[in-house]
Amino acid sequence: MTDSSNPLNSNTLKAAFREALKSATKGSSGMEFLLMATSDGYALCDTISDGSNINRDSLAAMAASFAGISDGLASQSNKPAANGSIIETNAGLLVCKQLKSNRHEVVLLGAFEQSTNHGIALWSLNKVVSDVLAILENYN
Amino acid sequence: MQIQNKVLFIGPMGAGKTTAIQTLSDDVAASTEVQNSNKEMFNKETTTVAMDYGAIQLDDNQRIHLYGIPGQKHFEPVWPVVAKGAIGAILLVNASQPNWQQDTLYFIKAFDMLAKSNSILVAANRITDEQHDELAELLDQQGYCLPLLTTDPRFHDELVLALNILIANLEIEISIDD
Amino acid sequence: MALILGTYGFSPYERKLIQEQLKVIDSKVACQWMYAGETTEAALLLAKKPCHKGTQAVQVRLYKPVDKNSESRQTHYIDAEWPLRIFGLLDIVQQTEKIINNNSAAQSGTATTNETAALIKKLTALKSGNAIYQLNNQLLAALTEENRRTFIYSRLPVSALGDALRKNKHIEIGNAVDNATQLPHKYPLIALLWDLELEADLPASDLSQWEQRRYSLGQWPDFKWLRTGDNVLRLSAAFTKRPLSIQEAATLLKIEPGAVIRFLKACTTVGLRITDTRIRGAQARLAASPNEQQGKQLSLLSSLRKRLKMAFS
Ligand SMILES: Nc1nc2c(ncn2[C@@H]2O[C@H](COP(=O)(O)OP(=O)(O)OP(=O)(O)O)[C@@H](O)[C@H]2O)c(=O)[nH]1
Ligand SMILES: [Mg+2]
Repeated sequence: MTDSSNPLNSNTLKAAFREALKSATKGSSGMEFLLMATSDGYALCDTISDGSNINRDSLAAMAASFAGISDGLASQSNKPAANGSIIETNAGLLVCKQLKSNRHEVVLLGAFEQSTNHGIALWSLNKVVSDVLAILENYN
Repeated sequence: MQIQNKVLFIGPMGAGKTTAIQTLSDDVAASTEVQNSNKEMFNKETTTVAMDYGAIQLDDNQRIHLYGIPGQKHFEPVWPVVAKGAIGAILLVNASQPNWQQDTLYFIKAFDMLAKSNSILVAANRITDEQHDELAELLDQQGYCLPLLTTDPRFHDELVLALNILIANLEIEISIDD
Repeated sequence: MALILGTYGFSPYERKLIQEQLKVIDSKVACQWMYAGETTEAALLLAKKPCHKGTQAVQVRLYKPVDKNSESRQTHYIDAEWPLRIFGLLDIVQQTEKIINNNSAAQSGTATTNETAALIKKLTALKSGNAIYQLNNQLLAALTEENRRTFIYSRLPVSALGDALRKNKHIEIGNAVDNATQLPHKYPLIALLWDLELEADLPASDLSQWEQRRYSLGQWPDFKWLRTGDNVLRLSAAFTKRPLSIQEAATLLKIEPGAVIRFLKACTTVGLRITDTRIRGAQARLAASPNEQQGKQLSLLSSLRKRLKMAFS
């Protein structure tokens, strides 16, 4: 089946995202990696190390699916669209955020070490969220 | 054996899975549609990212559940999650798309377990008579003995025939297997 | 069938008697008989006639309802004793029904077993450019070839064309007319053959011919064109799943073996791949009866089927 290339093809936009993610990962301890994808599941950028065995494309698709399910779950519970959701694992938290500008919808996934608690994780991720939103607005 | 009451809708992007479930479902079907950022692949506003869900209420307290997968290939890891426990699947094919033949085979292979028990039905839309014959031949060449229909997923009565074939298939499957 | 009984030359008392007698025999006769009183227009007319021995008898006159529009109504006469007793009347009515039945079977021209087979054979041989005419030169259908398939253009939808062909013993094959493609209905020839085969009577010899073997279908019938029904769907599912004998399929689906054979014949006629193997030894292939779980699953499916039918109508 034809699998098409990344559709959000503004390189400057992607470069800006990449910078934002990189500095966020550097600045906060306990953050393993960040990944950004379009809401329909195409990987945009990430801070996953090159040696890692994580498949970026599958992860991007899963993150988008998860965000989609969160939205569906929220709407079935009579809540407005979801802004984010948390997955708890024995090896740390995964936090997913849905970000919308009037042109783009993206999903941001953050993976945290076991030692990082909910408060710290959300706080670190929210910092990235505002950076990313600023970029989305500016590039509109 | 648990009682199975789940029918799956599979097929590539834009084939009409979400449309079919909306058409058949008693209530407004639940979906996970988001903005489609890949209009080159298929020019439509939204695409499914996790699943579609609808249901048909039967006389008694039972329901038939209708599940749709997200059709784009990068969602393949989600497919088995949505497909778990399905009776059978309706594979939607949009023959106006490039590579529709390969896509059809791709989905049959991806849902191998259902194909083996003949529990996949191919429902093609936007298909010419010639393409219909071509598809029948292709399935035959590949050794698949599956029912093939022309079905516009926007119309209820066309989907009903597809469901009736799945029902007949499962009735036989149950009655023959000992 | 509703039929009229009339009398001629009967007194009011005698008429009342006939009416009462007719009520009594009502459950013992096949048709629905209605007494029209004194008339000469009836399928069965009882008329008194003087008899040479001085007693009276009734003459019974039967009209053969050949064709409502035709003048050629034939008349049969039966003599009966007078006074007419209940059994006498019953006898007359039953004889009448027999005559009318034979008559309508022959006249309406319902094709017999062999005729349908011959018709199918004739149709199978049709080619693009051919046309089918009724005896009065009325065009029934014209054939064309499109995309390696023979198509029929007709004024009639496929089931009606099938009926028309079965009823008209005298069809003629000629050349297609130029504007045939303007006829409103279009379907492949196989759709017509499929219908005819599914409706055909089976000669007894067919039953034995199809015994002793197991059959399996290599392809599903093409439901884009071919008529479906619950049995056709289940038969298709069964024979595409595994080889089955006629009897096994009939038991499995709880239908007549004849219906199974008709289905397989239809599959053969439309060119589906059927393979058959000789039955070797008795193989227990079918689940004896569904267990509780299977029963529940089957009932769920049948509820769904009913629900879909409801939504349909
Ligand atoms: N003309 C025409 N349009 C059709 C037909 N079937 C479906 N469509 C249209 O094609 C589109 C199908 O879109 P969806 O139902 O979202 O497709 P999908 O299979 O759910 O796609 P993904 O969720 O992206 O994988 C809709 O806009 C339908 O109205 C058809 O037979 N003819
Ligand atoms: Mg969809």
